[in-house]
Amino acid sequence: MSSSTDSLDAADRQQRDWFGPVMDTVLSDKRAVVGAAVIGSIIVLAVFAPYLAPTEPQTTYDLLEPPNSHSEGDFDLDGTTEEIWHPLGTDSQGKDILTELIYGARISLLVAFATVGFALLVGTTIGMLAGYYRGWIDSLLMRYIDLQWAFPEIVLAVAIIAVAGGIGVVPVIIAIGFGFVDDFARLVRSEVLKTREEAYVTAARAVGMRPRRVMFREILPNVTGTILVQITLLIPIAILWEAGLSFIGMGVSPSTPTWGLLLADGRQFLHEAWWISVLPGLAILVTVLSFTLFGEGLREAFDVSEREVHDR
Amino acid sequence: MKQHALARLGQSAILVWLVSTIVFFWVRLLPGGPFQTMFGQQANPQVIKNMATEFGLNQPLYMQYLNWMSDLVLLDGGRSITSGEKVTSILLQAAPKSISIAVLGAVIGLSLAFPAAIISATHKDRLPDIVSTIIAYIGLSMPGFFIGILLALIFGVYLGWLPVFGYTPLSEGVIPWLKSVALPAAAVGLPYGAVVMRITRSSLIDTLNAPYLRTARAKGVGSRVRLYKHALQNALIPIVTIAGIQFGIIVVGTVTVEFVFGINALGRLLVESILQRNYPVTQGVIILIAVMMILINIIVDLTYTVLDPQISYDSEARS
Amino acid sequence: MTLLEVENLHTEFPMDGYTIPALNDVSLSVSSGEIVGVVGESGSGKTVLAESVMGIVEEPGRVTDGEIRFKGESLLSKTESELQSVRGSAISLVFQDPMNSLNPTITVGEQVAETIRLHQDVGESVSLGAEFKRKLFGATKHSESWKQSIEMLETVGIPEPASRASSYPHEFSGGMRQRALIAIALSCEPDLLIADEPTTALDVTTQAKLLDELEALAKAFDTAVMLITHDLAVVAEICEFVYVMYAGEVVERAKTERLFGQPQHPYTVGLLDSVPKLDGLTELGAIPGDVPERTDQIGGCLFAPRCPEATQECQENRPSDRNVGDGEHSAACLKRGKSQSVDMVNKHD
Repeated sequence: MSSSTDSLDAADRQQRDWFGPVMDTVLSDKRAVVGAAVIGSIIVLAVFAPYLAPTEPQTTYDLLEPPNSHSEGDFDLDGTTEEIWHPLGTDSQGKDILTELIYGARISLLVAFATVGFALLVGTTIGMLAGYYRGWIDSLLMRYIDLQWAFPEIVLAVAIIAVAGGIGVVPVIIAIGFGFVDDFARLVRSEVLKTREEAYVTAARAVGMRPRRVMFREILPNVTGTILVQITLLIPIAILWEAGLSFIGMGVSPSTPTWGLLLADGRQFLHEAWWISVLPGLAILVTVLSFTLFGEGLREAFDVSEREVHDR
Repeated sequence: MKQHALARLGQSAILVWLVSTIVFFWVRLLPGGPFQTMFGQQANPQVIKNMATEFGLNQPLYMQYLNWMSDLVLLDGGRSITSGEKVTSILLQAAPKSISIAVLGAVIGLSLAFPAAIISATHKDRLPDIVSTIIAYIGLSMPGFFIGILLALIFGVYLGWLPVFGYTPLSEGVIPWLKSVALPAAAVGLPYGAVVMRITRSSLIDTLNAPYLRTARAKGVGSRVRLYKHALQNALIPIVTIAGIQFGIIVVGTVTVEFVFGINALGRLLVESILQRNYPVTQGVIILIAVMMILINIIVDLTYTVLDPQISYDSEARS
Repeated sequence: MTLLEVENLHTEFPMDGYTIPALNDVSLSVSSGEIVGVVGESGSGKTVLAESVMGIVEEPGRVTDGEIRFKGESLLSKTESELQSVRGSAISLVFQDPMNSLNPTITVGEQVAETIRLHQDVGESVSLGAEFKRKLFGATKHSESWKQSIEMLETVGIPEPASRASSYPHEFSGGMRQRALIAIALSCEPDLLIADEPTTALDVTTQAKLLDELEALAKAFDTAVMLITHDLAVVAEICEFVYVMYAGEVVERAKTERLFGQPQHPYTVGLLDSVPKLDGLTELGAIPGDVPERTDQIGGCLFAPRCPEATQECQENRPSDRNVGDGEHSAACLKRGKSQSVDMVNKHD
């Protein structure tokens, strides 16, 4: 029977050989490349923030300085006067905006990745269990999905943060992530439902493969592409949410620099210091746009239809 | 048809009840009570106790729940713990603001989205399409509150045409009202328009490639008639789904825009009441939101019955 | 008289870096009242042929060479709006896939009436505004186009036409939908009806019935039919003359009985061999290999890779039509007949 296992292995290998062709399609898609390049730069900025930022975060200089200006004074209290260049100006507390933006990128990316990661883990597990075992898990999931449109996400997010007692990274992650769990759950569930009846799954089970192994080895690889696309499409949404929550004061702590907080800070000073709000807004725009473009490129590469992933 | 309408009503009522119950128990899960936040550390325990009694918060939970439910059926939302005002009147003041902004925003968004999508779909992959798509992507990538700030900057600070703070009710005149909601509506409507534009474009493209469109062309039907008579209605079905859901979201999700423009509508009310642990107000807002979402959903379903001949009011076809 | 003349038609699809010749030097003709068959498997270009005649080739495809003449007039030099008055009235096209070829949001009666309104003089406007009004206030059931629509539905054999006309396509069965499509196509009594796989989506009994009815209708309306199919049985049933297409070229043409009795081109022979026969003794012959995709890269005969008779000469030279019999029968094979010019081959009426 070695010939049949040979062909099974070959099919197996073919399943895993998708990486090459996908990479080719992605690389030829201009927007995906641009998106990826920008994302890459932002990640580099975030990771190497301490080396790249002009000043220390949260340190204050002259207040409300416009972009391309200088602060003069003895800021490090060493007796000598320094002149600090503020390429993007300072905010209402005198913090250098470029520094705040770079450090803010850390929070945005961190929260976004953690959020989507959380939703991925929880959502995929639930979806897998619901689709494979059906039964009460499935009914519960379906009931929840039926119910949740009555609660717009903002309500859910605020609710979770409030329960957690207010401010902090973990509540924010759970709050935003909670809204994404159902996206992954539905995706995985429908894929599981589709594949569980396929011949090769039945064959695997007939040979005595344990359910978990079946789920991971047979079913999950089929949905990898769609999951990847969903991930890249949810990350920008997570960034937008984090910014929004920070903006209304329900985000990560008020002492860490985030783009949303900067925007909120700048709201009162629109007349005299428009850059405090506009610059972080542009940062958000660029980041979200590049993730979205990259996600769209991935979607084409994996040939995922618009109905399969949930776009907001 | 009547049977179905009744069934629908019944389902909705159950849903509202479910939502109310969940909210009731959830607010009481929040750490800290309403009075800690109000009075802070110097809280006089006796004063707190008195207030608690007045608001019925000392009673056993099930009693509170029953009272609450019975009041709710009579549309009595209780009173705000912070201001003593009736919850229903608070809601009645805040809701019109949210609704005006959302509706005007949707109008702005849709009136930009449809023409843009039609142009895009009929000139697929050519210059008009690329330009439209880029604009749509940018609209999607900016948080509403940032758009609001930009608009406030341009139209409020620099041009001085429109106010950037506060809401003028309709009772004081249509023009003042319009002026006060124009910017928040645009801030909410532009991202909404971007989302709708994308789904409209893709739905139109799908429809324009459908076999029955080829039949129409082979019959000698002109291109404009093909677009508007043959394609549009078919394309609308998935569009209505998204436009409806997203509309529900903007009615509520405009919290951030409300903060930008200093408008005290439902979103603001929700966040503040939660921070203050103002149970009755929070409960009232969330239930009102749920009711509005349910209504929107029913309207969307009804729209399907008009658009899709395969769906009659009796069938529950939801795409 | 000759109704439709296609001469040396070239239709190609420019792709990313290369071009696919969907139709290569295709010539055929249809006479008035004649029922002609165009046979080929998928990829043979038969649908593109129909689309080229109607001027509805999908982008990026386009006709690059050749001529299409209908009643003496060149179709290729007509503008889109001129073609729109030809489509549905002088030449009609019935698509395959009856399930999806009718608009789900328009009543069947209206879909027929629309055609009548467009091409017949019934005094009803077809402007966008008028259509809008019709949608909003409902079309009058007393209008001339509606009445004619009901008559047409009855003619194609739809029971209770008056009430069925107000129904939507999803309420019709597959066979009924196909009839509705035929009703639309014949509503303006066209001179030529092009039917692309009209029976493929139907079950065998409905197929036979529909074909007979189609033949009857064609005779009744004096409409010529170009029947496009992959099914030889269909061709044998009602066609008088047959064109066999392979990979974008016409490889054989003959009167039906002659084609089935004395097929000349190896491809035709292979096709006939692959039809199950009732004698229970003949093995089912399958033609090895696949239809070539990048025909732009092949220098010699397109069928050579799969042909049991192919020689070196065949690999290098593209065969032209050669007379193989009674003056109307020709095959594009180097191993058959003598070279023939296109003119002689086309005149078969």
